[in-house]
Amino acid sequence: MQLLAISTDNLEGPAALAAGRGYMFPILYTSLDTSVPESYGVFNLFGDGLASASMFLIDENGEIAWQSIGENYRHQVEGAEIVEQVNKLG
Amino acid sequence: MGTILRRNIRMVLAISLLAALFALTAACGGSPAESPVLTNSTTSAIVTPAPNIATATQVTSISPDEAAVETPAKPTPTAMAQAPEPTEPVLINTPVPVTADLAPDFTLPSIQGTEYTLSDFRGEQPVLVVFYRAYW
Repeated sequence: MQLLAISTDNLEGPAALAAGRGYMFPILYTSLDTSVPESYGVFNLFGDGLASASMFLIDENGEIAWQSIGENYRHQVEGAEIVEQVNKLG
Repeated sequence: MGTILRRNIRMVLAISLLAALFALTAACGGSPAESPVLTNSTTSAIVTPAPNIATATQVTSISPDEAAVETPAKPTPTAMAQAPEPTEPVLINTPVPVTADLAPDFTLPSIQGTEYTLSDFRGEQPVLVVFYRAYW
């Protein structure tokens, strides 16, 4: 499985160095382009101009198999829940 | 006799002044030496740390009131738990669920320097797309 983390911050330059330490998965960024979080319906839910902390599990066919959208500012998903959902894909 | 009377009056005034100063000190949180005792928030504990004016009987009558003043100033667990609530953002826009059959495709740069396109993984492996706030 591939993990793609997406930030709506501008992670170029020094911010990229700070963000990239020790992580073995790609950290993508949208800078000022909000079309990607908008297309997933998670942009600016709190009026702060950022994507809400959310997860989308996309199966091999490209379909969304499971999603968890941060409708609470402190939204978190337990690791066990993610593993369970991935295992359901078979 | 008049001189002795005046001295007595001065003594009473001096003791009263000391008592008032002590009351003021206790109301403002007391000296550092008193603080650990005050943490227990017992009424009798307020009275004990008064070594300089132990003979001033007026002090004991003031202390219970001071204890009542002191207690609300202490941060309680409830107060600390409620503190961040006023600043926490609330949901103002309802999430719009994705209705398309396929997850919306995207091509984005990564901090590692490589561009990633979601559809490149189609037929290869599942993908967990994580939108996160600020950088980790």
